[in-house]
Amino acid sequence: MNRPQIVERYIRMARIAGTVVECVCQPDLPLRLAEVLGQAGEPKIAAMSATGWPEGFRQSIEAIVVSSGFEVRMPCKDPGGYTWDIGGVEAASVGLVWCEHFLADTGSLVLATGQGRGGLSTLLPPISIVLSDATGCIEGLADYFQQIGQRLPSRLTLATGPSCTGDIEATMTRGVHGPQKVVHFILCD
Amino acid sequence: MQNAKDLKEYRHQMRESLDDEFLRKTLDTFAVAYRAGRAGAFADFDVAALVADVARSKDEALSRIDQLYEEFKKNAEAAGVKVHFAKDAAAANAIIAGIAVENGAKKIVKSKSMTAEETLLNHALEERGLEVVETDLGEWIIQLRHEGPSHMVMPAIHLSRYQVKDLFTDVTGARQEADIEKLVKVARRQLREKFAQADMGITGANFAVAQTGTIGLVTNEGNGRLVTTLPRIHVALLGIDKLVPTLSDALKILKVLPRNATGQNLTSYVTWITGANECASAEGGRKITHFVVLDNGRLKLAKDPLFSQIFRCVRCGACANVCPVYRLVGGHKMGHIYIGAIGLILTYFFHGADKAKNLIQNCINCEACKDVCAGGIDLPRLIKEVRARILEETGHPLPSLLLGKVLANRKLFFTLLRSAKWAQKPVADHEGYIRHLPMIFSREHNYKALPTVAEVPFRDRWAGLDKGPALSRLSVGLFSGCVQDFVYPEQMEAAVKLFSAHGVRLSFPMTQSCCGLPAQMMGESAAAKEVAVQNIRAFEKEKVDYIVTLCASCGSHLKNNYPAILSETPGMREKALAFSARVIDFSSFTNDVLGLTATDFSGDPTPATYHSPCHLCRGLGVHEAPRSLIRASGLDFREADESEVCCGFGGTFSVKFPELSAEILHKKLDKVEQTGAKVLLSDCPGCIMQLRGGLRKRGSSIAVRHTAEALADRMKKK
Repeated sequence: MNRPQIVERYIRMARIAGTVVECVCQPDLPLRLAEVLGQAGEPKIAAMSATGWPEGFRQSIEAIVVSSGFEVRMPCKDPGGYTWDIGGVEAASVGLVWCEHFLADTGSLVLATGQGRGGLSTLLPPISIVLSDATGCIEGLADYFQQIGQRLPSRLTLATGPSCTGDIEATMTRGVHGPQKVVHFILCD
Repeated sequence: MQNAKDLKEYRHQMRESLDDEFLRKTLDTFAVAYRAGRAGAFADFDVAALVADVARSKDEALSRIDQLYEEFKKNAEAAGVKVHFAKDAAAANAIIAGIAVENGAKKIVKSKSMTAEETLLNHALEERGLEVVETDLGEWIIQLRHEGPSHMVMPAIHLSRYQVKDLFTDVTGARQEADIEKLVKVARRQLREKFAQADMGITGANFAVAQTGTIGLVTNEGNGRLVTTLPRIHVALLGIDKLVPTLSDALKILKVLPRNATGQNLTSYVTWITGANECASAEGGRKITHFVVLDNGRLKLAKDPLFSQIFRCVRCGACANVCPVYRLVGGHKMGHIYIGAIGLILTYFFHGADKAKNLIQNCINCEACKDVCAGGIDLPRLIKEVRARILEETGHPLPSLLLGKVLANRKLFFTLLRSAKWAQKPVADHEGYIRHLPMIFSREHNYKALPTVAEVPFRDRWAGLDKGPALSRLSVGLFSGCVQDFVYPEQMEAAVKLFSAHGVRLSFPMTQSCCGLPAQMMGESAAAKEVAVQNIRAFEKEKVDYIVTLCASCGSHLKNNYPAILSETPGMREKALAFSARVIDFSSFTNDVLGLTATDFSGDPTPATYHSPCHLCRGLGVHEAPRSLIRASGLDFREADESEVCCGFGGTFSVKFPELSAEILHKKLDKVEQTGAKVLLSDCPGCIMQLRGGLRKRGSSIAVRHTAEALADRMKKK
């Protein structure tokens, strides 16, 4: 499969899993992002990862978030530690991260750990907004493992759609511990 | 958690479940949705190849499990994890409690782990004054209710939203609504606090990779991520059977586990933990991380040539999802801690014969579990083997012992069957049914009419039948089984008529006996082996191309089980293989070998439907042949919903558990009636006995016949 086909497959599989996926070109991103942020509920607090973004990109995204009326917070008061700002985390209505790789065959985001990478920003707020470049789309996890060799990060999470449970009456319900909604913006040419 | 002291109490408990309409409706809805979801998730895959891949991978791991453990330990510890080996449940619990105490942990959050259920970890930690909160929604619900799980993937599936609403009202002190989305939000709010306050998180692991020292957690809710991230200590408890050699082996499991468990391509979250997380504020810059690897009898069992396959289990719960008995009574009656078909077996090994002795009876042997097992485990066979082992340990009950003795003695068995013809006279009606059963049976067994024994068995009719051309190039030895020989000889006669008319040379060895399946179902292994030898010898002298049986259960037992049960009998292994290679069921022979088509039949397009016997569709893998023949015969074929789901007969199962047998039958008959068919066909005399008896009790006019009878009647004269 060529790149557009791989991305197309990702989009199909991610949508099956319940992710809202949108391909946007960079000039349109501020408008589309602001629209999604506009749909988020109160309070206007965004949990945003500190690192992992392409150079200079975090600042421009933060600017869009702030101009949409959001206060930006880190979910952890003490990055790298365990003093969690539960009030702040509970208060955040959206979380934003950059995701370097995503998998076509299952529609999954590959979230690797690292200081300030903001894994919890994809988990704690009810809406998770994820941004990626189309070049980060790869066929499957086996290809990802091949790329990184055996040097696995200490924590690697594949996130496929929103958090869900079927534990009451086998009725699939979203957002039990993690996000109810996952929006993935893929930057395309 | 099933803990009845004897079968009587166990049956009483099951009757309570049968009265739980919510439970049955939920499990029914789920069973139907599961089949569709699973089929969709596997649509683009060769499922058999995936399962074989998992089986190979797990078998290979098991063959060098000690070495894998050492490799896993070395790699995990190099990445900052402390790895412990726990010999048994008590040792595992003590290690985990010790980690908590040593690190000053008081509050613990947990994600779902069947291994922790196995060791009763929560009780052990609570006894030491530690607070343990389950965070998987279903597990939290059952923890609050002080119950065990009723499903390995959906532990609270037995509870309604109303019960959860009442529970959450009590827990929160605020009135809650019976709205599932709102109830889920209540759990989210309540448990967030617990995550934030916890010192220690405990998880299980779905797989562990020796090559990298990695563990993998496959979850949907996100609690697993929170449990492994927020607290300063993470402890994972995993069975040593979760070890696989490489990442590539783990990927094989990951490909089948979610698809087989919930029909998802992948669960919402799969977390791969390789070493202790970097953590600036922690001592040594890393989170406190411990992996506790549990033996609890696994290493010994790994060396068992037959039972080692249970460690191919990936805990997907599929064997429960498709089990017709589970679908009626739920997991609290179908497991001690582990649920479903695998649960029946694991209970014996992990929790002992006393906990398993009742449960292990509760298998209808429909093979639905084997058909969907992600590891290709021969669950029905292992269940029968566990039954036999328990009988060896606890002694054979008199009825079982007598059945074994009688079946093993062909002359005595046939004499008894022949004398039944006379004994039944006072209770037989003129239409071939028993008018009424003795009082001790009638209340529970009156859901179906039972047939009388035939006036003249097939073996006594054989001499007068056309045996086909003596010089035919195609020869068949007929295996009748006891039901068709003594109860439904007309089914055999129909096959004889059809085959002889199409140039098949027929023989019927008189020294053949019962196939032995009833003995094996009762756990009477020695008797099962003895009749297998008798039957192989009976056919040894017949130089036939095929051994044809009209009974799917006999066919499956002769073909699949004979080589297995005689594998260690001196001189019989090769003979059993040669025998089983010639065994074929009636429909496959007629359709695939004889190649009969529409040009061979004529008749009205009477609406007809078909019940696939479990041992035909799953036991022998035959799906299309009977349907193709029914269409060719000119009948108006109408497929019934769930036509491959069990009818509830199960041989001795229907005698032991008549209430369950009746309920499964009722579901089946409802679906048959929905087709509008006037004729119901099947390829198994046991199923026919069940279906015909049930329809008669309903006063239905639907005729139930063997496919052979329908074809023989519609055969064009040559």
